[in-house]
Amino acid sequence: MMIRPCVRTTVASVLAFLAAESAAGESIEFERDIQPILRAHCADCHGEGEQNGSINFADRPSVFAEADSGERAVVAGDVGASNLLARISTDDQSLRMPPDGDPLTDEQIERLRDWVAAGAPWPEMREAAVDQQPEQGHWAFQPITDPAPPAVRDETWPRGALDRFIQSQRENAGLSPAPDADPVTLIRRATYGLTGLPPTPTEVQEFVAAADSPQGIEKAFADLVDRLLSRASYGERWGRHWMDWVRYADTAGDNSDFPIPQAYRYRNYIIDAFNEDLPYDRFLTEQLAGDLLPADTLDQRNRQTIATGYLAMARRFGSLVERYPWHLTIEDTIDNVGRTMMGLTISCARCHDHKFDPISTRDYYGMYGIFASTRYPFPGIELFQTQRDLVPLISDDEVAEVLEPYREETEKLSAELDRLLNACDKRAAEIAAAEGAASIAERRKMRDELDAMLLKARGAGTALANHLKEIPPIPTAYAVQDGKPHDARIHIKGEPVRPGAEVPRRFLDVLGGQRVPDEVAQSSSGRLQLARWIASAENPLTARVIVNRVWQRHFGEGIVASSSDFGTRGQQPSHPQLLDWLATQFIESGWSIKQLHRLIMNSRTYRLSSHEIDENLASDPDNRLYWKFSRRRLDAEEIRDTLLMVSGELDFTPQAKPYPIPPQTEWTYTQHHPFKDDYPNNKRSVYQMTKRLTVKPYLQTFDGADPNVCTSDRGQSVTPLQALYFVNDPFVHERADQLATMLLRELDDDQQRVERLFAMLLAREPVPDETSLMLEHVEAVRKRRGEDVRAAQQAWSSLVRSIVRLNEFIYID
Amino acid sequence: MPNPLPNRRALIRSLFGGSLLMPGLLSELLASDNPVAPRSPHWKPPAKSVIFIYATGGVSHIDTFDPKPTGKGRDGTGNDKLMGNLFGSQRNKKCGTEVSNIFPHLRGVMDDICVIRSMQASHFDHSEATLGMHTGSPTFARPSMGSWISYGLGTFNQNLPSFIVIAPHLPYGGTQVYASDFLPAVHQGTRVLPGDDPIANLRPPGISDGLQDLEFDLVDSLNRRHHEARPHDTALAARIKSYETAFQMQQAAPEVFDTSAEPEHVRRLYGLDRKTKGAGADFGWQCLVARRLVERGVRFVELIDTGSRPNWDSHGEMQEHADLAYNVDQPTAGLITDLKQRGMLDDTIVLWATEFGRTPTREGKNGRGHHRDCFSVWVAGGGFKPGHVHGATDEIGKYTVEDPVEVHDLHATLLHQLGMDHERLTFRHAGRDFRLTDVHGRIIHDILS
Repeated sequence: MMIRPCVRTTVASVLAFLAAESAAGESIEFERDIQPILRAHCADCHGEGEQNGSINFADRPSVFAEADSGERAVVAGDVGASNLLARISTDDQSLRMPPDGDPLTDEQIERLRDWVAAGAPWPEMREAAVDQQPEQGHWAFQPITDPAPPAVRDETWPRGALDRFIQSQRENAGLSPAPDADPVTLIRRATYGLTGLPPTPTEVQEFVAAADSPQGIEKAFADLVDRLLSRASYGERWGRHWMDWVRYADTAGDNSDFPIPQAYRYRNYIIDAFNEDLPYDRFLTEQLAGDLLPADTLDQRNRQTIATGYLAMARRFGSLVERYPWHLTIEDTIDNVGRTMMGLTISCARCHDHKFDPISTRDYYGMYGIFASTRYPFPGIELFQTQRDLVPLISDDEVAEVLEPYREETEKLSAELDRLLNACDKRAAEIAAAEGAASIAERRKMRDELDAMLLKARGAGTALANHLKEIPPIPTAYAVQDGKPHDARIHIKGEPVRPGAEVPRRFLDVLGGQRVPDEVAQSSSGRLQLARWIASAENPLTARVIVNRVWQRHFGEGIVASSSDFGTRGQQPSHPQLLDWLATQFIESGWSIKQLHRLIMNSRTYRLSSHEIDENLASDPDNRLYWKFSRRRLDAEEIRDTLLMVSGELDFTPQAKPYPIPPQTEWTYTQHHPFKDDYPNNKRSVYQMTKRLTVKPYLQTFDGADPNVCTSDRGQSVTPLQALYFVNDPFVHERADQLATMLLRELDDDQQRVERLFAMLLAREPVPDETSLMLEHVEAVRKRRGEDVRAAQQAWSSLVRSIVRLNEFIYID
Repeated sequence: MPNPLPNRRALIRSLFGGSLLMPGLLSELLASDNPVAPRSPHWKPPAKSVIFIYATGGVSHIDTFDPKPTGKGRDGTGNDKLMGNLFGSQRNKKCGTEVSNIFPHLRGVMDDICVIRSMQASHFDHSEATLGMHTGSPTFARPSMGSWISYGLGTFNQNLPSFIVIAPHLPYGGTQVYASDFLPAVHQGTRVLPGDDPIANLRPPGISDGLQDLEFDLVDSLNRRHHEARPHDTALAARIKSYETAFQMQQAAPEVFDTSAEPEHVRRLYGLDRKTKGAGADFGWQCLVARRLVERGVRFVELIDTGSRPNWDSHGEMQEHADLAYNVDQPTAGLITDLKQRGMLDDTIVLWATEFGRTPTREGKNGRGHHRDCFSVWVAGGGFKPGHVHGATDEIGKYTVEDPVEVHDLHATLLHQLGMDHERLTFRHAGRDFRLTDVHGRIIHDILS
């Protein structure tokens, strides 16, 4: 944190001082007798730098206001109610202030007590001392502007406004642009970029011909982009990006990794949303509060309900129903909402005010209350082997028909479990408060007592779980609903057993601090309000963050390189005006992601070649000024899907059904025997099962997404284990065998076979000496295999394996 | 000045992890890229490699390295459920450290070992405490200790991964225990399985065998031609190099995992001549391979003895401890003896840990529950104080009464012995500098010689 000039003492010194008298009749002067103690012993942690617990001894009002703990440090005239006095004089080491070093002397404590008793006189200070908080001036918190495209020197270069922003900065740096990419490079780049798959040889041919036609490459490329955007594979590709950011998984992440058979509905919702170009503000609103939006039909209601799978997807922890750490699941929710949607790291504030960004503990618990008032679905856990609180996807009447025979018993058992859990929470908080002063024997006794209560709650949980397993299954979504609306209390130091001050449900102060209106707060969680605050054109972060994410997945690097952190510790935008211009265009287009793709891809900047220019490398080796297109490695999904596609084995149909996970009645997952099943198929990678605890080695090797946190961008590492994969993995060998068989079956001529192979894998024709090199290789293998009837097949398979190892195959120019 | 692309840093780091570059050169390459740059050691360290032995399930401290005598409870009847060490104990004659009778071989080498009896677990349940021990964080996904050390120091051998995990089964927490998480992928643990195929993809499958040389030549010539037109792209060069490394790994790795050439007396030292069955049966092989890996310059080797079931989690029957101890005791002691005889113990840290201890009271018929308030771990070699006992628990092994040690303290001390300041080994991720020790950790100087 920045050091602010210390102006307050000088201001204070010109003010009239107030004096009081101690019990002994000596006068007490705040500045002479009190302030030095506070400065020397308290201000390090409760001062201008850090305001732990929302107490700042350089800021008078904060000392008399309710602190995060719910107590007041000083209540004028009331020694008993002033927590400052309690905390400096207690014998309990865990509570005593200051926490490190020697306690205050008796004389100092006495002086503070006298001061409080005498009404805690403290000279009023002028408001002049309120400085602008430097973090609030941070660029990302300023309103989005609509800058005019700048003038450029070479007017013949730009194709549109976007190019002008890039060109202007590049010209200022004295760099010249790379030449435009050729049509073959472009179609490979764009097809992978929008669909995650290679173009077919026919598509390449047709595009090259269209680019050569009188209407030219401009029109041909714009048409290509439109075609690609209209394919189902577009939503599968860009849905996968969204899944990276929302840490999508088909399991819950608790220590038995319970499967979520319904998760696929949310995955398919995402893919459909991209394909339908659902406006992004609507997309966010549905995921945060789709269940609270009006719906005309059951279908619409279901779709919007399924969208809240986003919140339901928050990670689960632990194994016990009686100590289920909901606060961690809510933290995971807030963390992801912050990073993915707003580029903010909010969850630091769970335990303390954010060290670098203007996000306070009160901000955190203002949002926390919204999610604590939300009922998350329960995926099951080691000691509660069934799902609970999922949302039905059939009409209320149909639901009632199935559930009615069980309703009474369900309600009874649920109420009993809730009652016992509430009692445990209450007791745990009491114990936490009393423990500091208790002897070891007393502590042991209290804990034993709590353990017995917890065990009883566990029993009630088991009874309920057993009962729930008897109810016939109905179609459900892993989605959220509103729970009991309430404001949350601060967890002191992040510990739920130490409740502090209550915070009304509201948005982050730095983004406006809007409160959930009282009449809404009484009847609803406030999620819909939160969704509106986030998905708002007025929110300075939301539009900037998503246009930057889309840019980042096209160019490999965001305009803001730290694409999930727009805070003060994140990177500065390389092209701040362009970022704002894009965000404004995006909002004006009705938050259309497809339109954003068109805007970006039809620019000249996107269509530059990746050719290097020696002079540019010296001053901008990392291409921050976008003078060329940055080459990128295919990611894990692209490699697998391509190999399946070229061998004719890719199943293009979506996974529209749940995986064949055993029915809940058979679940016995524990941390000793966690859920580990997999249901591999030949569909696209986006449809393969994702587990939180057992990530596939293949995905680990090729920088796959981490299903536990927001993965901002994929790594592009180069490792020997990747090379070994291409050399020896049976998957690669089997695909190569298939493709070789196809070549031998469909074509008679060796040269044609080589040409086909190049077209499929590299999207181009071989140059003559490449053809001869290939044929020599085929011949060499044939010779080595001699009389083996499979010699030809092996030779061509060997050639396929070699080509997929090429840099030209795995990198996109 | 524009910001450098993370890609380039990641790339240089991936080269580093593959050890194509020596650490000294690397720090030069990256010096301008602080603060994410990996550092050369901050000082000349006593240790350079780590063998981390992880005992899965929660080993009872009371029945192993912190034996408590109350065999039949306080009143001698066993009615109060209090249960002391069930297996008896003796002291090592040289250093006096007392060890249960189910670990006779380890007791014999206790004068090379520093026991910590005052460990505090980060959680009361397996998965969380296992992750806590490996990553410092019982809840949220973080890089494993081995990944941090690989990231900080690189490795010596070009043809083997820097962080190798020999695990017949996955422990609690699954692959997260050895994941690199936000650190570059090259620092993740490479899992090795006992058997014919220790590392995936070391051998060509089936009939395609015998063609590799032709394929390597073709690929190499085409890749070089491709690179000539793009001479400044270091990723392309690195990938060409990665095929050479992969080719060498195919030769080098099988040799490391093949212990048949070890002389008979060495195999006996690790107990490979014994018949073992059940969980931990391959542990002798694991220990011997660990030595061979460190000998060949691998930075961090982790041995996981058992999986999430069956293991040391003896809720119902403590006899399971004795059976498991039989499988692992002699190999573990053999490893220490072997390292010492070869002069490798001085600069190799052998850390033995589990996720938590077990309760002093009986559970079920003859078992013990999870216990987080105190448990035992031990360290040998690498400048740790031999024949030493640190910390103490009360008379029944329920609470720590002396020198409590948190997991973060253990991590900080380990890094210290490898020449790294745990507060300076950081990685910028999602807006802040992450550390293995988060915001905690203090070096336990009392256990260093």
